[in-house]
Amino acid sequence: MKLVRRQSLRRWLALRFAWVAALPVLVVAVLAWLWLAPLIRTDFNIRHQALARAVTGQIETYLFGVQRQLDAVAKLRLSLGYRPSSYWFTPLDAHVGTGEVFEAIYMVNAADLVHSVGLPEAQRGRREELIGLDLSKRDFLHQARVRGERVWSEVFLSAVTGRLAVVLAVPAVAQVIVGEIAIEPLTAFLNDLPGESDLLALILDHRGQIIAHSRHIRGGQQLNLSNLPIVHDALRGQFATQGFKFDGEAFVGTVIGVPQVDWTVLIAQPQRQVFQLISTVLWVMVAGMGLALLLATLAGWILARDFSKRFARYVEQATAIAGGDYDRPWPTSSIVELADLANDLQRMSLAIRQREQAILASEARFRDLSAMASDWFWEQDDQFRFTFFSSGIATLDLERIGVVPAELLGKTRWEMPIDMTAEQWAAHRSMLEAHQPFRDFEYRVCLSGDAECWFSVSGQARFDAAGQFIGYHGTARNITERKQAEARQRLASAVFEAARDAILVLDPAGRIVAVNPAFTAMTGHAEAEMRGRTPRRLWAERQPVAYFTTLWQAVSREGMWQGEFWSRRKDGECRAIQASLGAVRDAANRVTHYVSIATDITVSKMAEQRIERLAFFDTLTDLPNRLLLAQRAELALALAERRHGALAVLFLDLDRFKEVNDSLGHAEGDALLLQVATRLKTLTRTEDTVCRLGGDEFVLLLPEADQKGALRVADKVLAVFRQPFVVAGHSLQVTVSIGIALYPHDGAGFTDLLKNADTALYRAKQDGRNTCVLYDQAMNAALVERLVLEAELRGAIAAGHLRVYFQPKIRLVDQALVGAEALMRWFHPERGLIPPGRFIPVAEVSDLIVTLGDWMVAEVCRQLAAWRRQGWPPLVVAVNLAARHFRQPGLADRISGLLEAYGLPPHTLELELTESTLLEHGAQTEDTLRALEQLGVGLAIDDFGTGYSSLSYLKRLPLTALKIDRSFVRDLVTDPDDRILAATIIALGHQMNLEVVAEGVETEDQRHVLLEQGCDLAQGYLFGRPMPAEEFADWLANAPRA
Amino acid sequence: MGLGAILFGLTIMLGGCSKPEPIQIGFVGGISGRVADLGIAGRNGALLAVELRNQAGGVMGREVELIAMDDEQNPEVAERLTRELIDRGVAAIVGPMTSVIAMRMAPIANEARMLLVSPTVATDDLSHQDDYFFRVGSSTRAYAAKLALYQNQRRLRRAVAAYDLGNQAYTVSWLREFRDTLAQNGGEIVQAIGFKSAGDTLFVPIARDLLATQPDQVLIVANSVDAALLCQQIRKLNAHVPIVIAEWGATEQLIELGGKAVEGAIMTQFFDRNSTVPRYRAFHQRYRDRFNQEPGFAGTAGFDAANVVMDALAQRRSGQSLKEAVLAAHRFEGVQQPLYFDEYGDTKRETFLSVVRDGRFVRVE
Repeated sequence: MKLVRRQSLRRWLALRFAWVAALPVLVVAVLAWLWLAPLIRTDFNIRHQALARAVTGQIETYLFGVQRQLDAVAKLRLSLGYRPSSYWFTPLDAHVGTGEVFEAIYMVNAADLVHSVGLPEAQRGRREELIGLDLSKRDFLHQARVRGERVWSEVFLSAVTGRLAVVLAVPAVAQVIVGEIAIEPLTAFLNDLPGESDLLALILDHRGQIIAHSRHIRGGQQLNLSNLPIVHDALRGQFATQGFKFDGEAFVGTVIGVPQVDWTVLIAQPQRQVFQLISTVLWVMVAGMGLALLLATLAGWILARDFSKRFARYVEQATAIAGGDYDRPWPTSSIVELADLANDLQRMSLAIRQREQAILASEARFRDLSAMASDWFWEQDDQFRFTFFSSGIATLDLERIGVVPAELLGKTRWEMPIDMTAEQWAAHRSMLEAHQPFRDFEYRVCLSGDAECWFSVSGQARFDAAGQFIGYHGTARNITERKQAEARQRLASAVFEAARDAILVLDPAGRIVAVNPAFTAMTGHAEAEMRGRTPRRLWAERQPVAYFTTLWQAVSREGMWQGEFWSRRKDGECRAIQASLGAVRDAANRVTHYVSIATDITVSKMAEQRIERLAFFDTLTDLPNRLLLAQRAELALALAERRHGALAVLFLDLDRFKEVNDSLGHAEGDALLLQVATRLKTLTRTEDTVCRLGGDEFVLLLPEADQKGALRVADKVLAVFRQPFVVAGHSLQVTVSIGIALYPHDGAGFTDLLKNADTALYRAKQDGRNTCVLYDQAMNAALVERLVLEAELRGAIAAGHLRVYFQPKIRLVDQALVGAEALMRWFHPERGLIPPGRFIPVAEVSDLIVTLGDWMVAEVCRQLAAWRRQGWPPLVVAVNLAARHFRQPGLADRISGLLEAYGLPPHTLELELTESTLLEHGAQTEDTLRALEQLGVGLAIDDFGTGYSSLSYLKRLPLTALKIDRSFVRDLVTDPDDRILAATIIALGHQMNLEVVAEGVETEDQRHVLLEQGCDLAQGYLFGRPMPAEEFADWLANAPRA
Repeated sequence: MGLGAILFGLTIMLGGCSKPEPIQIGFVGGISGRVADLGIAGRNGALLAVELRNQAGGVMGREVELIAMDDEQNPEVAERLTRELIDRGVAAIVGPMTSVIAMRMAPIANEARMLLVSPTVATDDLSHQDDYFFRVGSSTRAYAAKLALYQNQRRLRRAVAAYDLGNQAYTVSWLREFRDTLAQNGGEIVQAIGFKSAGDTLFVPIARDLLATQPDQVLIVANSVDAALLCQQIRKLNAHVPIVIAEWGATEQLIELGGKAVEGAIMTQFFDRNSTVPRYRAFHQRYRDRFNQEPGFAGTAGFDAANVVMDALAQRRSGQSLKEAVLAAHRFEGVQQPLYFDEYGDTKRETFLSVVRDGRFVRVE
């Protein structure tokens, strides 16, 4: 609302009165000014013109007088004719008189020479000079002769007086009467002009030069004003009133010409004087108006005071009505208008009272309405800020959820935390800007926490009486529950449609009402086909119909059924279905629907069966596996225990099966295993179990079999293996080792029995394979020790209990040291030195032998490098490696890396391998040996002559040395056979370009014999026993060198 | 409210708008009295120069105002006016027109470092001095010597002279120069008669005295009015004696007042009335349009002098005095020929001989 400055009636009336009075005064003033200013100017103009005319008149009178005199002289000259100069002195002097007007009157002859001259008395002494003066170059003379009439000259400075003068030349026959007339008297005319002292009056000649000046004696200075526009125009015959600048001051002037002499009279007044008059008039007017205004204001104030006093009573009355006091007695007045006012006010107050009561009643109704309505009412101002909220149940509910309407007052809707996009807002706002009504505008408000609230708002624009938009009002309601229900509905529908499980909805009679797409996909039946039917047609014949009946009974009893059944698809295929069926009840606990959810579990059913088989049977041979064996063993043991019967467990392991795998390949290995399984199954009774534990290990569980029975079966097994197996066209002679454990003698539980059978099998293997061994207790003790030793050996490497000893190797010819054999020693912290013969076999049966070998090679390389650094001569050190080592891929690379790392030449390292290693060799071993040869590492056959040797191997493989076993050397001196054998081996070695080394040389005789036989190198206690590296270094220091 | 607006409007109307203060240049010359034609022409020339300059936008955007003062041919008045102009802070003074006045003004101007640029002063007494007196015409030496040499060639040896006692700075200087040159050829001035220039001066006796010695030539060193009147008297007595008139008197009025009496009179001038130089023709036309008169040598010199002052003002660099500016510029455009100022502020101009023939000045060489 626009703020209106409050003021008293008295003040208002006074000002209004003053204003009403001031306005016409002002109008009059402006009009007067517009009319007065030109009037004043015109007045000046008229006055100037009058003055100028007066001056002109005087000039003309003056000049006319002069002219008359000269005309008289001319007439005299004409009447008298020629007379000598002196004749004319008296008449001419008489005309000149005192010289106030005439400076001189000349009589000029036809030769333009002065014939005679009249002068004022004071000048008559100059007469002689002037007579005869040549005036031929004076223009006026020339003009007078040419024109034959009176001629006024230009203004010039008198050569005599130095004052400005003008000449009138009057022709008289051949002569010319010339009067030189002073202009100074004209200045007197100008000075005598009436009027202000600032008046500027000028007489200008035809060139614009000043010849008379009212203020100064400036006539003689011949100041030329032709540059002033007013003068410029006047010289061209245009006379007007104009402003101009002269002597640095602005003037307004008027010009009038003097035609006779072609002069101009200029009358001017300073412009400031003109304006001064105008401004004086103006100020008088302003002052007068001001006074009039003051008086008007005063009058207005007095009248207003009187009026407001009377009026105040009615104001008080109105105030009382406004305050609700309708019963106050009304003021009376004799003034008709005031009495009418009182009457009207009284009627008005009555009407107000009635309307007020009606409004109160109406408002009460609406208040009740808004208080009870589920909607609430709101109002906004023209900036869409909330200005009002109704209060009632609806808003109380709002406050409960944290929306306090009172806090929203002064805010716009878009300041609320409403979840709506900018575009939606823009659309809504543009509608608001257009003042359009809106209905059911729904939005979501995010409340504190994760809570949210939905509102639906309707509104319409409000306009005031003038049609001006003043805001919006409308109703709103909380539709959160509806929205949530809708959301749930949508969700349920989405779930129904998108569920991977089939969903059926049945009516209370069990007829299908709805099915989802997953149902159609699962059964092949479209909803249209199934609607109105019972699900019975889905039932496969694989299970009894009674099951279907039981199902419904469970639902009616417990409200719920869950289970599996077989269903027939539309295309006839049987599928396993897992389903649930539940009743949906209404508030009155009446069944309205049944809902069933079904999943096709056919695939998992199948998988289940396969998994079951996998769990208990070996996939390759389809024999029971260890798990099924255990189960059956437990069962058989339980029976045996109950019946006090016996039971045998046979542990079978194919001999050298690995070689089959390595040489022929795994597929062939598997084929062999399958054939083995088949043969084993033919040997056993139904109650026996043939189990494949894995790899080439089989177990036979023979219930009710005692030692005798077990051995018989074992013999049968050995026998059946004597027939060769044919695998991939190869005929294989495969043997088997068997360990037997018996219940109850060798153990009460299956685990013990199996372990003991394994122990027996171990013995069988040690006993040379292709045999069966019965378990006994001692076997177990040996096994335990072996396991302990193996565990301790593993720790020994890390703990540093292993040491490398070096035994010198001597060239027999000159007994020079050429190298050493590295040997491993184990210093057990408790048991002291453990000989290699005890721990090497333990290591050999496990992977430990490879770890030990790697450690040895690394240790030897390290030591060799250390010796080289210490400056010892290069030695060749031999390291024994097990057969298993050579089967390891990457051995050559590892050794190459070590040599490189320690900066050793490859030939300083020699690897010793046994004959059995060569025999067991496969493709990998040969590759490794070739790689080592490439590398340049020496390869020696250890313990030559003790095992089976194939000369073809010796020939084919890249060997560098042979070592004669110590057993041949020991009796070399005493036993001639051994001597021959040694000689043969040496010869053989040399034949094959191998270096021959004798081991275990202990006596001088032995050395002697070997030397004789041509053996190259030897080692043994005769030269030096194995010793630690430090000791070896000392030994080396004292030993002869190579 | 309405009243206030009217009053406000009125104030604006009366107030007008303010322009930059004009540059004031003084002018001192004899512009009243019977021999004022020289001064009036000089003033008109200077006035025209100023008016034309203002029409062209003034000097560096400022209007130029010429304050013309009348020295009444009176040295005392001239001194007073000079001080008055210095007090008013004029930029420079154009003037004076006569040497006698110049001799009195120069010391005052020097003292106040006020530049005087004289259109016509010719006295040698102010030549070759590093002072504030500058001139756009030549010195008497140039005029008189040239004339004397010419007369020597005509073998006119015996000379008599009449000279104005009121302007001896010029007249005596002029005569001395003439005499010295004449003497080179054995000539001499046998008689020199000084006279006072006044309305009641009688020239008949002077003429008679001059001719009494039967001279070969008569020298008149005076203003135009006196020279014309003296010539009239000489010709009454002797129609043939050669008359030489100093350039001071060689104004248009000499011919107008002298009539046939000045026919054949010879004089030096630095000014050619018949010049066809376009610059002069344009100036001549403008002068005639403005004053309806011939500019004569005084009008032309006044125009040149005022232009030198205004050109120097326009060219002056900050910190430079006007005198320095003139000396630095050295060369200025005159309406008939370029002006070259030497280090003493004197100009060397071409001078030539003229003779009055058929009522007009005619160049001899």
